[in-house]
Amino acid sequence: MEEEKQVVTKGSQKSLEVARNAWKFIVQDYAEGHAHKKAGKPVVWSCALVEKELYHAMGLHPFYPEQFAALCAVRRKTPDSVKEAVRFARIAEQAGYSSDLCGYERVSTGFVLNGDLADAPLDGMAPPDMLVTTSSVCDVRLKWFEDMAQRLNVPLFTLDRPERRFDGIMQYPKPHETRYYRSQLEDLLSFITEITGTKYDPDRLNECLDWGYKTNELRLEILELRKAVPSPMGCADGFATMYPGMYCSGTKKAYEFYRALRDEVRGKIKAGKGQIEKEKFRLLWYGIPTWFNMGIFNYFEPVGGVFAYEPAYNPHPWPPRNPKDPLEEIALRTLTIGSTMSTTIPALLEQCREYKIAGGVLAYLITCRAIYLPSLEIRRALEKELGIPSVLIECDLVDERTFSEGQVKTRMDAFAEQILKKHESGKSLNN
Amino acid sequence: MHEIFARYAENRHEAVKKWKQETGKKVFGYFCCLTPEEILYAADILPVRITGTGEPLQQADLHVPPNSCAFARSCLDAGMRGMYDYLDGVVIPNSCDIIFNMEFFWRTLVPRPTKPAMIAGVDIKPYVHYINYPEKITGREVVPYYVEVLKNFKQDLERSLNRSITDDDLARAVSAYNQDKSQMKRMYEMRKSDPAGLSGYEAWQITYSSLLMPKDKHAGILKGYLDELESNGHKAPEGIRIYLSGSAMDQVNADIYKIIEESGGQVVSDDLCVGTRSFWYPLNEELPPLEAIARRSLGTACPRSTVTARIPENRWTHLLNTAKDFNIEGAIFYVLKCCDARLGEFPHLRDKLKTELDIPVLFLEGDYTSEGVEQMRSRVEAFIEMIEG
Amino acid sequence: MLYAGIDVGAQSVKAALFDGQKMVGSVCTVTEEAADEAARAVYADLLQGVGIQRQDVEKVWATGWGAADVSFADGKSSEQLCAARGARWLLPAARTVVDIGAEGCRVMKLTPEGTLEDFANNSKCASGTGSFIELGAVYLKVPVEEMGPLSLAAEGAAEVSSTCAVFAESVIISKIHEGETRARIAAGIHRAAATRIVELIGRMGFIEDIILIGGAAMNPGLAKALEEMAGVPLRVPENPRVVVALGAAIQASLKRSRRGKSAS
Repeated sequence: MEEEKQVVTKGSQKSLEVARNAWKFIVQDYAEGHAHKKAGKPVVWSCALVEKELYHAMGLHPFYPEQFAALCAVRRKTPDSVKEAVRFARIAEQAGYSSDLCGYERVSTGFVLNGDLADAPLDGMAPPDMLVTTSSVCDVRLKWFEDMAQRLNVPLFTLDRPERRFDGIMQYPKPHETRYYRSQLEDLLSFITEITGTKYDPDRLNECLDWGYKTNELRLEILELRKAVPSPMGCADGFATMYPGMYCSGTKKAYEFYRALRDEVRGKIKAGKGQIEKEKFRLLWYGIPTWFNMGIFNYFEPVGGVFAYEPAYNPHPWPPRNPKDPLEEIALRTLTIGSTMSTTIPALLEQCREYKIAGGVLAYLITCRAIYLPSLEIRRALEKELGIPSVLIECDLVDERTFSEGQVKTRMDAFAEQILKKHESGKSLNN
Repeated sequence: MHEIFARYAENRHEAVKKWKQETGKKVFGYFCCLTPEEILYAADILPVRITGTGEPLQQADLHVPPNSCAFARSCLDAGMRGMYDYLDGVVIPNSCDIIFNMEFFWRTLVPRPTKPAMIAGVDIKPYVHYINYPEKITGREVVPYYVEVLKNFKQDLERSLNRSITDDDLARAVSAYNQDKSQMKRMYEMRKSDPAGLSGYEAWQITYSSLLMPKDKHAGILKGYLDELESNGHKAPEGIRIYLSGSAMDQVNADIYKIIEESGGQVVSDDLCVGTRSFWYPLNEELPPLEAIARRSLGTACPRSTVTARIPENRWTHLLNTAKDFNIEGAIFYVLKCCDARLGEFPHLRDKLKTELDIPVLFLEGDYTSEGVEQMRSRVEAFIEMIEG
Repeated sequence: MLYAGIDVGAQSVKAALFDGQKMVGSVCTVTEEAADEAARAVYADLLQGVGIQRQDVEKVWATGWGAADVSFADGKSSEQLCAARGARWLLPAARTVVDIGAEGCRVMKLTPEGTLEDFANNSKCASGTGSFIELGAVYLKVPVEEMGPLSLAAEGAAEVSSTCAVFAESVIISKIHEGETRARIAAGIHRAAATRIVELIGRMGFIEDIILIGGAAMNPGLAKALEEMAGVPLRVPENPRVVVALGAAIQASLKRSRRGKSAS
């Protein structure tokens, strides 16, 4: 490497206008949430993979502690202070929460323990009327939300989603699983009605699901467009623009956001413009990003490397709309995605082929069990099945205290050299 | 100390292999006390709890990352090294993020003695049986759901073993398990006295061996042993009365009981899976047996589980139940590094123990090695000395 | 009546003599000898220094990492308890005691009456202990006892962001490459160590008066960094290294042998 590179923690340079302005959407959404609360309307704190359309249909404004923690990872109270994520994590640790615990949990618990919920970026998350969590993705969030419910003295509902282990030809959830999960959705609606008085209106839910479905279709289209060479939209752009789809699905504004994004990506492809001028190799980012150091996505650009694809937060195809039975539709949507490594690893390999990935950067998130557990098997599969090298970067999701610039720089540089050598020797990078 | 308990506790593989040789019957390994092992017993299989070695990993470290649960990795390593080659099957429930993935790891990495029977990608005679255990153990639909899950499990077993498991078989299992539970409860009650009727370490040996031998056999031996202890008026050494909570407590780290005793304490009650959780929940013999087993399995208050209560506090109730009548003077939490469920609930439980029961709490971060346990000695000593005043 | 306390640490042995009212003598010796021999030698030095014989001492009490090996002790107590006793005796308003040694840092919380209520250790890793500063001395090529004064001479501090001692070398070298002065790097190292220690103190609640003891307390750079980061004053007793030994001697004056322990 000719230049001496610095891996300092900083924000990323995004290649798309919509991505650069996405932060405004987030600020606006928070402001709407606070206004909603001020107007006496109910607020829920929830997490990824709960079907958001239910909230919008029931008149709740959702906040997401995990997303809030990511926000805290990049913000400081004053230019001289530590990141808000560190401030909150410390509060939690001093109350007895181990530093080995999920970074999101430590940060949001510290935020709650701090007492004044407005003493935080964007005025914090508005005080909740209820908490809703799910067993999807990981089970840490079950205890995390239980703990928060006790601290805030606010009722909690847990959606118990059965793990989907599919065998060979049998790729559909079993009837008892669908029945069980559907009963959870019904119970959730009763729970919300009990607390807020709002009755469940299937028409309203269908309206939100229409928006949600259309939004998801747009996101699928964008995912498809991203396969183009040169890469028109990278991981920095991807992570910056996942918020509306992840957290506001079911609203018109989310739909409009992705329409603008899709149009911009189409425009880029038409003009033959990629993320950078001379794209030499494309990388996969596996896992949740190091929110406090998004600049890492630009790291390889000086040598022609771009991050082209990230599996985290990206949508899957949803089953068709079923206005006669929207709860059944939601249950199917959630239960038809496999959750074991025997399904997720082959799917990842397939995506690497589709996106012409030459190397993988695997975020070894030291406190995120769901992400780090398959990482060694993923590395092995990438090497064995696709001949793709990968590198593990040790870091926390939101807590930069354990981040070592030196170690990351060394590994990334060695990794880039490995890939460039292959490129220069003429070996095909596009498997 | 009745030497059969000690024999099982100290050399579990030899003891179980010997039993297998003598009886010619099958042995299945399982993870976690919430596993519906009664179904295995009904099929004339001996269910044995899988534990690790506490030794440096030889093979599993190439597959399972270092931050993950040291206990699970060690178990997998033992499997990969062939230490469990006498098992005829393995049962893995969806306990937590890590154990759930053990299904994949064990299936793909540990050699199996029988051949798969593949039909269109489905193995109808699996070696590793996965149980889709609910995360929320209460709720209006959870029992019908879980009974269905168990029916599927039973079906896989029946195909693998080429036999049926009847309701009578299940009922017999329920009865045998209840008999052992009543002796275990009896042993448990004996520790209420001051000094306790038997030491923490002895109680652990008895509990651990119950997870390695048939319940009816264990019940018989235990009854005789407890009768003997009672007639002798046996008492454990005196000590500060300690409540022990935490992650995996098997032959790798059970020395903590001895360290506590040597430091002037005595464990009289616990919140452990190789402990009260393994026998606390009785089986309701008035229900159809599969449902009784499902309810018992669901009722196990493992930290990873959540409930439907508006503001959940179920674990605190369990802790209260197992701590209040024992005149506890101090609580020790031994938690493994990756155990987020316990790490997350710890501050709350610690605060409640202090404010509601006025009990001081010591937190020990375990690494699932016996050396690691030894290193905790000075802290345990300091803690007990602090309570003595 | 005279009571002796012997603190057998990993790198040094400390001994103190207590007459029921005050400390009348103390010794601190760096040694590599085995615990029992080292303890004997230091005890002999103590007696000689004060000018008394063994039979003048009512009880000898051991503490520290090697306490169990001290064959001539009448009993032993934990370092946590001894630190609490010693600090409280010297500074009666003590509510929090911070003991920073080479291998670890521990914080003791005392009740208003002065008894030990809770404690926390940080021996998970070297940062936040004397070891981290020692490592820094190695990579900066500076004698370890000069690290403190060097850090005090700095204008500001270099950003030593990673608190993991495994990366200490690479962090320090990269700072040198960036053109940072040794003084600022030393200051940065002290701040990083202080950050970890302050986090530990926070777990016990920052209740004043907060007393700093142990070998690293002799480091003025660390004491300053700690005060700055904690935002509350820290009190350092006159001879911070022997406070635990003193506490052992005080403990001897209060107790018989502990229940369940055999006294030699």
